[in-house]
Amino acid sequence: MVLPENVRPTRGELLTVKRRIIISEKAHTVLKRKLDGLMFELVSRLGAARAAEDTLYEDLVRANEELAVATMMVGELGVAIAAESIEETPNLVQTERNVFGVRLPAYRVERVAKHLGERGYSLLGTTPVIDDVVSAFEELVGVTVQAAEAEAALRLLTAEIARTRRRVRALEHRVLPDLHELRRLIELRREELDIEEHARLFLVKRLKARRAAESIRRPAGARDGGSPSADRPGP
Amino acid sequence: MVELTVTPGAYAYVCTRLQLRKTRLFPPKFYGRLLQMSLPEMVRAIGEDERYRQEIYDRYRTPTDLMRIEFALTANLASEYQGVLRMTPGALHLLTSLYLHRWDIVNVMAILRGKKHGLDRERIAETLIPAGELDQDWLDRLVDAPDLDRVVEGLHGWSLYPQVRTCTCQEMPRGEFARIEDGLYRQYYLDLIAGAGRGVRGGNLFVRYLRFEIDILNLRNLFRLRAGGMSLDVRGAMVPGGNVPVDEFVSIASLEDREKFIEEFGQTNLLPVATRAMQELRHDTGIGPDQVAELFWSRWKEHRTTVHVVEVAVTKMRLKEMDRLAARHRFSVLPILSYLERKRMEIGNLRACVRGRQFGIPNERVSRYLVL
Repeated sequence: MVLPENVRPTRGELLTVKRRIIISEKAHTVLKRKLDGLMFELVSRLGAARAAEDTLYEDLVRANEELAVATMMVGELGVAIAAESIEETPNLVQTERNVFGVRLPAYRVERVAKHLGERGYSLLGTTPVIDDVVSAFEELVGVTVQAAEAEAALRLLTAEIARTRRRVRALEHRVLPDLHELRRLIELRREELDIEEHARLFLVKRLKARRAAESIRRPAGARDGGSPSADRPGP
Repeated sequence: MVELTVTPGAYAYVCTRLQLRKTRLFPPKFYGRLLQMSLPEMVRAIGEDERYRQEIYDRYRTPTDLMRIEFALTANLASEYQGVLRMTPGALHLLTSLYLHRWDIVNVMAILRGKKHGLDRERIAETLIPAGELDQDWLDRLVDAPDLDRVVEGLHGWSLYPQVRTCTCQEMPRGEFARIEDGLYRQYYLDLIAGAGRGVRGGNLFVRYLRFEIDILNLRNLFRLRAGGMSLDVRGAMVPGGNVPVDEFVSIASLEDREKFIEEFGQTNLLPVATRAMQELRHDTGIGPDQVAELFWSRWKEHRTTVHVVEVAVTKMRLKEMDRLAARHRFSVLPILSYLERKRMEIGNLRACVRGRQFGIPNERVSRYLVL
């Protein structure tokens, strides 16, 4: 691999790359811990989410059965009239919980389960099937909200896990190897430059030494005719 | 002054016509056949009967349009009841009209609630069943009224008007509509008991039947109150006029001890009836009052409402009793009321079959909800 053209093999660049490596390794460690934490959170929530889903399914089946019986006994008209008597609708309150930087929704439903006196329909004008179907659907609303909360948390956690895993993998397989390679290339280049510099200095030194030797020998050679071996360059 | 006297000839005429109509009601084996059919076949089988043909083919358009079939059945019920009202003279008309006030209450409350919640005209109109004293024109005028105050004004002249006077466009306390509706039903039963005692043949027997119906209603509501957390005043939820005094239901309401509950419940006249109903339901004459009392106690202890199929079984028994009385007093008000009840049950049975098929409920279970 060749050192990129925009990277200069300077000491400053090497220090920058080393700093980036240190930061990336720290980020990798932190992200791996976050990933472990998110995985742990996901696994710990899975059981509750599955239980909430099972409960939701069971309650939905039960509520539909109650609705079927009510529709059979008082007709859809009877059920519709009772439904339109409801004077107060439930209120959904949404808050958030921060888990490893992920904002998980937390829902609370207010005024779902009501007493008979608060439901708005008449006791004498309706039959117990209406009570049963209302109770079943009141329970279903609470369970649905719980299941929705659990599923939303799972979805958000899964998305965050995927994002974090992508980052960890990018650091592991791309960023850190690239940085290490860059450091190696810079160091190699710097070593080459050092050797070149060293050789250059050596040659300069020898040249200077020869020149100095020549300057000393010339006056003496002029006297005794000089020696031809003295002009030969050294190794 | 309205002539209330009913001649013996009028009794014979009305009762004979209605007894004839009663024989044309669907027999129990028809429901057995109906339950073997698919949904379109069911609709066709009902529509093949000339009594239902007009309403079914007028309203039922597509195989998935099940709400329409329900409208068709209720429209048939309404036209049949209006026909009976037109047929009955004098005091018989008055008593029949009082009996049909139940539908007026349903209609009036649907309109009042619809207007209060701002529902559109069509939505309100499709829930109405003009089977009572308030005929289609009157109901249309009420539905067309611009606001709740005008609806209440439009009810001026209706016999239960004093009960709905408090309804207004202004802010009403929560639960006011339920209180008004309860008041209407309470007045309905009082008027019916009073009307049955006004020189109509068989009136006294009908009062006995009504008192028993009130007892069943009160017992059912007691269980509902218990299941609903006793959030309402027990006395306020009871209808006076039954054989069992309201005080007795109030005293049962506070019971938590098994022995006391069974003892108090056994003292009412309801335990023998419930026992017979259970015997018929399970086809087992070996079921005794102790077992039935135990069943009621278990529901009471678990804060649950009464078992629906037991209620249906009790209704069957009540109707049997009514039929028995109507057969014994052939020219009285009883055959008329027996026919009206049987017709209502027929509509309920047809609806149960259709809805049961829609929801995929097994035939055995559907048949337990049929009043045959």
